[in-house]
Amino acid sequence: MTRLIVDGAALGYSDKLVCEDVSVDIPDGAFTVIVGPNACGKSTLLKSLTRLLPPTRGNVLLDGRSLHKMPTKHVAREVGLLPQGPVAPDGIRVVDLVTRGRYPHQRLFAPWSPDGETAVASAMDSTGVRELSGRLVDELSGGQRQRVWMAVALAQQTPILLLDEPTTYLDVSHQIELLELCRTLNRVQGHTLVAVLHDLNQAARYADHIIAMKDGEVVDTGTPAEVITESLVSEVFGLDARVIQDPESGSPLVLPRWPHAM
Amino acid sequence: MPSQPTASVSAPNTSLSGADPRASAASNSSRRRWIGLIPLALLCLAALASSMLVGSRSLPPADVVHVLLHPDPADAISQTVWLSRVPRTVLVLVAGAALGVAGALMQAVTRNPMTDPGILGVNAGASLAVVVGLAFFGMTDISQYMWWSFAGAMITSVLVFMIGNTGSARGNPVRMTLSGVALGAVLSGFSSAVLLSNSEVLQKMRGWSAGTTASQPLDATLAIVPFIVAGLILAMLSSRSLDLLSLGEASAVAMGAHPNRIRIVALVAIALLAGGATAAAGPIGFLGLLAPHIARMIVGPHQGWILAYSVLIAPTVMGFADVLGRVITAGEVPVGVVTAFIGAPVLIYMVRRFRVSEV
Amino acid sequence: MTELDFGRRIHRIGPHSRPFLLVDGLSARLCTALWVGIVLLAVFAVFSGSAQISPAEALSALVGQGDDYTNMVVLEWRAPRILMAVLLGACLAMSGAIFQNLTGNPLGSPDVIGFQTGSYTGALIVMLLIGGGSVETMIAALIGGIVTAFLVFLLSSKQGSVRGVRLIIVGIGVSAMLASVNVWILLTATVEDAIMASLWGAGNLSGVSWSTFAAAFVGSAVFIVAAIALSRPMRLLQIGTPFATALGQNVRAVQVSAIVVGIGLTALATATVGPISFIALAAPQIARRLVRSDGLALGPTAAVGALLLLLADVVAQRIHPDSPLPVGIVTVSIGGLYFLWLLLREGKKR
Repeated sequence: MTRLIVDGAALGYSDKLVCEDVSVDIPDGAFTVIVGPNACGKSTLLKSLTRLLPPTRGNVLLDGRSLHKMPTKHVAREVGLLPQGPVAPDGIRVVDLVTRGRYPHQRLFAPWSPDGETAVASAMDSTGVRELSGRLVDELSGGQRQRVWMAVALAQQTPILLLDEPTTYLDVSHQIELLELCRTLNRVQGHTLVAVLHDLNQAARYADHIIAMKDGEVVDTGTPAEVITESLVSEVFGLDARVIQDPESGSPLVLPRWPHAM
Repeated sequence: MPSQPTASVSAPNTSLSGADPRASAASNSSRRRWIGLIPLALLCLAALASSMLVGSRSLPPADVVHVLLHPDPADAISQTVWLSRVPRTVLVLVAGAALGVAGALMQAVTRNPMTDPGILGVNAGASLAVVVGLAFFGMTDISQYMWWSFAGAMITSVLVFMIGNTGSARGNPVRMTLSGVALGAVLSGFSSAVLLSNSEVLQKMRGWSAGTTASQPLDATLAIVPFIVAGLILAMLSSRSLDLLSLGEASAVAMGAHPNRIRIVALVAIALLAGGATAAAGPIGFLGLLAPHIARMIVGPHQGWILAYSVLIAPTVMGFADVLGRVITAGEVPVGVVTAFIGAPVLIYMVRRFRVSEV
Repeated sequence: MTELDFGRRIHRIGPHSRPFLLVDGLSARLCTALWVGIVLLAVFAVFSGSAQISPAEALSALVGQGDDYTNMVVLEWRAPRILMAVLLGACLAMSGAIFQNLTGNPLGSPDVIGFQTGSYTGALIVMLLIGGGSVETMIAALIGGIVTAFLVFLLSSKQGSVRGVRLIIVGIGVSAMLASVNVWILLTATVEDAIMASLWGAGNLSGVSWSTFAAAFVGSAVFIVAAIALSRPMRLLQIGTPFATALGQNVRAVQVSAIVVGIGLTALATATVGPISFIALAAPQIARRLVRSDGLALGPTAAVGALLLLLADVVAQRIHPDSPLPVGIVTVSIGGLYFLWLLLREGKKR
């Protein structure tokens, strides 16, 4: 079953077209990862799945209806987004920042509610930042801060969650921590996750479904074993590599050739 | 390593004369910069000439030239030219060059392209000092109150630099510009307060506070000339160090520069230049913004050349602006108003056209 | 479910099982303290002053039983002036908070950017060139302020979006132009007229009547309500446009509304009593530090602004009993002090 579908969409910004004609299905309940070299259109594709970037041609469908014609608040209750490099206001505490994620559920004259409080608490529990609740966000480490941002996205209580390069600025241990968190959210809580990741091997380990892009086009989709092959790595990334089976996880492991050919 | 003839190691294609093409390219552009000064100097002369020839009374150019060469205190035309046009033209040259170079220095020291002594409140500080000197300390002559002007300009520059370049504002041009604007607003507010309470000084300095070339006799202008010249010399001497500073503090130190020493020298120069110009002509904004930018467009990011070109560009702009102000309406529009009307749209255009990075 | 740890005291407002509003304890206590201060100061201002009226006489005037002179002084001069200071102080402070939030810059305040300069231009045209009375001056000032703001907004929006930096720089440019126009207009008038106009331009609460206050109250009520309604959306916008959009907010609408409300508050205040600077700049920052808030703290900001302006007016009247100062000159000194404090703080950060 697929709730979220991109159908023949042309995507771009005011000065240039990034994707001419792209069609993908986002499988429900799966952890989908979009990979590709820089400027291939990964973030663009991800943003089109929210209301941030309407397609100039074609359609993005949620439950069969055009996403961009739906009321914003309705979309905000179904699809959540954690953008790249979000900025926290000065002096804000963790719990207040997470509460901002309740915006689509807040009513004009009743911004708070017991449901809201529960949602904020459980979002913080899921991401393991509950003990940091009263702390200032500025004082946290990079890994903690990114988990707080995940909690903000989770407080939205959306079945579908999009993550734009959530691991890019983190230390490797925090990257793994975050990816494990994503895996739990997907397996245990049943969220449909779509993430843009840079690291191909991390994508191979954690994703159920991979979308590989290059130059604004989808080159291949499928399970990591199906998609991450030596020929694809060479074609999409221009990298001469060997792909073996990861001895830890069993997923494909990309090893650039050594010594590297000049 | 295979031995190779030394001639071809450094440059892949040597010209027939054996000279390094990169060096000749550099000397080409250097030569172009020298040559470029000529049309600029001519334009500047044209501006000064028009300042001499245009005014509320239309005087035939031949008469003006005659009277310049043979001054005659009894002749009305000679009086007009020598008492009004000549002082104004000299002021255009002196104050214009001073403000242009002061602006170039500020932009270099603060590494902020959106500054000039007007925007950052340095002119406001100098005028406040002058007004205070006149109102509370009985100064009357420019040779007295110019010292106040220098002091005011110096203190304000230091303040703006400190507020704008430390702590949270470091490296953020917008924050520094805003600090300067806000500080300028405070200082202007104090100026207004002093003037409102002292109508005698208000009356005397009304014209001056708009920024004008018309309020000083010739010897008053000449009194500030030595200080302006001193400021220009200091500026020229620091040009190479400022080039180093533009690479960043760490790189500059690595190349043997002393950033703080450079800044102090530059601030003194700014105080002399902006303080002197403001004492004579009142606070005039935007010249210090426009001239270095135009200079930079012509010669590129080379501080010495920017300063040299600004010395010519600023008086040109100021001269034409002053002439425009004389002819545009029946009464006269002070040059400070005209430069604001030219400079502000340019500033707005700049910020629309180029992406200013936000922090 | 154990209760959330907010890191500070929070009061839940509403029925026990369904609270619908959270109020920060520190903010509530501070606002109460500030308003108590404002009331005390107002009482002081009503009962004292250069007109030599004893407290007993003033009290009798307040309950409606004084002689004509006392009534006039207390009820017609002092009372509306005090209320106006409180109202406009709050308006200016809120406008400052909105703009500082919008531009993401603590110095991105309407008085620094220069929206008030246009109001002065409108007023000068009426006062010195056309020759009109106080009502015409106010209308012209209102129009001048709004037109200026509209112009700045137009010039700073590119492809439909207004970025904080561009708004600030364009504002500085436009206000520099208008400031020079103002200087020129002042030059064309006689010294006496110029002084009179400059007194308006310095920001002046003298001569405020009940009718002026009533008009200002009605006008600002609309904007104040709108500002309160905008505070939650604006707080959300602080985490960035992409996130806010993904969370379902119409970012463009919020930004435009915020600009309209911010401009409206400043234009209203300036049209009524002339340009008063530094309340909009300093009050939000002072409030933020007192409350340790992370976003728009409109309640404390309004209270701080009201207190500051009232205090400035009280000082302005009493510093030279024979020739009271325009309140704007006292607020400029506040600006100066604020800067000094900023300097010291930045110096410590080094």
